[in-house]
Amino acid sequence: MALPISRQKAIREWRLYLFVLPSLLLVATFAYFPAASAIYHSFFDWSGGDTKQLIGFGNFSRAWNDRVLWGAFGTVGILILFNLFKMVPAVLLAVLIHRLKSERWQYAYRVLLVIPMIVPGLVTLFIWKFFFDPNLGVLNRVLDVTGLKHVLVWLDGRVFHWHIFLENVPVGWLSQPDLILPSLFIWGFPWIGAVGVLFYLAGLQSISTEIYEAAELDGVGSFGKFFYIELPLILTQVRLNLTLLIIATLQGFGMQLLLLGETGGPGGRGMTPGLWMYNRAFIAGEFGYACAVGMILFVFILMLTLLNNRYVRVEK
Amino acid sequence: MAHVVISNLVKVYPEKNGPGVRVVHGIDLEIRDGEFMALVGPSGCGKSTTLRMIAGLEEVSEGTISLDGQVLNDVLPKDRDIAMVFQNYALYPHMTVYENMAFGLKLRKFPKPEIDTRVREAAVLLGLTDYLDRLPKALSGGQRQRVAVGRAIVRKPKVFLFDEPLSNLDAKMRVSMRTEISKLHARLGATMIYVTHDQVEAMTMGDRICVMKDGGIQQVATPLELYNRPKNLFVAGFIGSPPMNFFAGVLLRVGSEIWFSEKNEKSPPVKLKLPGSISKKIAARLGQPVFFGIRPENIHDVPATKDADAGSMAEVSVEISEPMGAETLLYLTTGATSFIARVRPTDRFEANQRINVTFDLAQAHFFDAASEQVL
Amino acid sequence: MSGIAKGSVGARGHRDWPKHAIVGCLLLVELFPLYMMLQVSFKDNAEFIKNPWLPSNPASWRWENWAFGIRLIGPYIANTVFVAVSGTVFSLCFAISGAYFFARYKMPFSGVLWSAFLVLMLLPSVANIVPLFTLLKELSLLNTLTALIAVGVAGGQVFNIFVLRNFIEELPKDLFEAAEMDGASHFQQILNIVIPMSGPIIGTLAILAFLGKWNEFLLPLIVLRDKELFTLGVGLIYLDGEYVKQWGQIMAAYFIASLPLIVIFLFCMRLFVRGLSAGAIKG
Repeated sequence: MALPISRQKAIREWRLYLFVLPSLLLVATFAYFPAASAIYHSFFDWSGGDTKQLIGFGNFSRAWNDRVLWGAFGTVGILILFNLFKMVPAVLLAVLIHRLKSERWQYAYRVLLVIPMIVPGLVTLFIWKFFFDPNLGVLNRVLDVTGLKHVLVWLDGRVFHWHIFLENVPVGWLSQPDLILPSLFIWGFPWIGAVGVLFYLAGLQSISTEIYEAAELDGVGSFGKFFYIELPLILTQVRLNLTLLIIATLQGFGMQLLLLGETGGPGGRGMTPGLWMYNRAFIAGEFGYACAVGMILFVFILMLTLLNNRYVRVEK
Repeated sequence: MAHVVISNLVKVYPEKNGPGVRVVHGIDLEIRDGEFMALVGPSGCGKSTTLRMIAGLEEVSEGTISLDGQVLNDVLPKDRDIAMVFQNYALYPHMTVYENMAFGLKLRKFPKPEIDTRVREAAVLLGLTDYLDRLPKALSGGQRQRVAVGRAIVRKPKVFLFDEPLSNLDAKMRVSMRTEISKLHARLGATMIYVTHDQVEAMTMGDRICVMKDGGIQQVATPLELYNRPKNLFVAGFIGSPPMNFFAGVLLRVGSEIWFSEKNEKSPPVKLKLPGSISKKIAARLGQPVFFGIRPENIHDVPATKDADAGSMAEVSVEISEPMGAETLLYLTTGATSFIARVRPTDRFEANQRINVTFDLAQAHFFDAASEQVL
Repeated sequence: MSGIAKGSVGARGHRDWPKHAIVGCLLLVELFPLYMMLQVSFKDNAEFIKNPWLPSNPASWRWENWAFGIRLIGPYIANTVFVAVSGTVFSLCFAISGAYFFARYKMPFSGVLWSAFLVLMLLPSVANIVPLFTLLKELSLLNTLTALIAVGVAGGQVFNIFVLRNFIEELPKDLFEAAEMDGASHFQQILNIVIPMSGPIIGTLAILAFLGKWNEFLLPLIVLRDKELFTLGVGLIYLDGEYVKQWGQIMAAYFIASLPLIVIFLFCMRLFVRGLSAGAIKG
């Protein structure tokens, strides 16, 4: 803990304040000021320049009726569910690696896991966009080669009548409104992010072998070990990841921007609240309204964070 | 000259809602030039705080600390010409022994050759010459401690401060380092202030000892004087190992003699006749509760055959006997008081055995029960 | 890695090969994009259409794709290296400095300031982008790399100071006191005590900061206008948007974009894996 200090000595040590000054200035200028400015400007009709007009809650009432915005929240909700599901493989992989006997293999796998992280996130994004390309894209090739395409066509024709999977027509993953959400779901297959796996692995390694031996003696099988030993102990990390994940997904729009463009793709099916904010500000030039949308999003996230904190504290 | 005067020193730790915690209560102490002054006392007595105030690491709440007449209160630690050896050595972990010792000099912009001379001199003095290129983690506890001492020596300060430097060493190392530090003091002749909770260290190393308790000074004197003429109960019981024995009781007049009668509800109390020399001084305390103190070596066991003066004898019970080789420690009890005696080496004692012991009453100390001061 | 004997977790009697199989499969799929990137970079579009899966014959590898790729994104990489390195260096310098302030003594008002920092950690930055843009405009920082560096440093402060403060507080206090008595100023104490003893943590934070800046595209997209200033993020977007795509060249460009990171990772592999694990255990 930082040592307590008497008034006298503190005055003598005034130079210490200089040490925190740069950080303070930077944070005040580039974090606090914009935040305050955002709140302020959300009450204005403002196009980013010097002209602004106070319209009180005008932006907010417009937001209340904004179908696109609420649609975006709905989309983001679905995306959160997707991401929840995508957490599972990371946990499973961590457990599998953890249970391997050879320490050398464990290390080897960890290294192999980290290698994809070398590719900058952006590049991965674009490679996937390449995969989704209807003509040259790998995804369609895979479907053709494995025959899954025919299965999908059959399902479409006979059972679901989506009219998306048609014979001899390349599947437009990012150009068919109905396929946008599934595409976002598929993205990142097999969904094992190295950071998550390594975190879970570290947590698993703190479990003492004695518990495993006791379980063996009790005749607990593989699945049992997972549910009774590993899962509960990883739960804290899972919960931490969960919180971060939800918050990140809620405000995320970078991926959508790059994969689908500023309007969230055909039919706007990929529109998230963040993307809508970006769109209104930089495409439509409605800065004031964008600030308001940002505010709404922020309040949303804040509430969720507080809720989550309370929930977590109660658990402890 | 390195003459330190502490005057009315007070340290108060501020509290959020309150007057604060008073850790040092206005002490006065004078440390002479070239003296080795040991500050000793139980945990929390304020000795370390006092030392740190001398060093400048703690602010003084009230009072002054002066070195050769110059008041140090507002002087920065580095300008006080004082060096400190820390309990946990505080060596810079990524610097070699040489660099650790040279650091302070480097900061003060000493010329390189001067630094080199000083470091090497200190290394020779402490037997560290072969270790100059090692990192602290490659050293043993004793070696690290020596580097910490070396770091202080190269500064050639007016005063050396030691903050319980040996408490992290094992017993054997402690004994050898004790002599090393004493030799160092003889060699350098510098003023040293040494804080410890171990009274053996204080007794063996100090020119004078300052016994502290609860933020105040109990007594300041040479080791022998503390041992033979403790001013109060605390000092008497603190100095000496095994510690002085205390018997609670009253002084009675029996005819022309004054006797001490132990307060004992369980068995016949010990009754001792006080020799004339003592009687005069404590006559005033007749009838009042007192503590009778006597050191273990002044209690002797009486062989069954020998005749002894009944006035200085008592029949007691053996609890445990610890043969130490050169002597035997007997843990005895009167039924109300447990006490220790140091007797000739012998192993003829058993638990619950009743024996006779005699007290050398010329060496007795009496303390007023209420004020705990010596009579 | 903990000192528990891990060998026996994989229990006796259970064979390992199914686990190896599953793990291996998952990893293979995960590495698939990387593989594709590599092998496509040596083909031209025609070859790719004919043979999308397997690498083409090395004799006919199109090295010119790579030359072209370098020309394409070389300048972007240079800009990004500049921004990332400066950003990381400044960010850590200020963060160490700030963390030292909080960790050394409980100076008056440090509680208030700390709460101010913490609050920032909880606030999502999503709403800031718009006013940030106008702020940068006011400061005439639009279309400069300085803007990217400044905003990046500011953004990283909170997290870095948070982590570093906890770390510095764990350093033995008497080390600082000994330095104080030796005559070291606070700056010297940071240099001689904090930094040497915080090596791994600073390393991990540096890597995270560098990575963050390398992958950043949103702010550069909004702020930068001149093509010469584009960082990697914007550059890649530009590439994706403008081109009648010669995938071979683009894939080569993508790979080159990853090279600096590969270099860093090869150097810090141990540190990074250990750093993540240690961070996880503490958290």
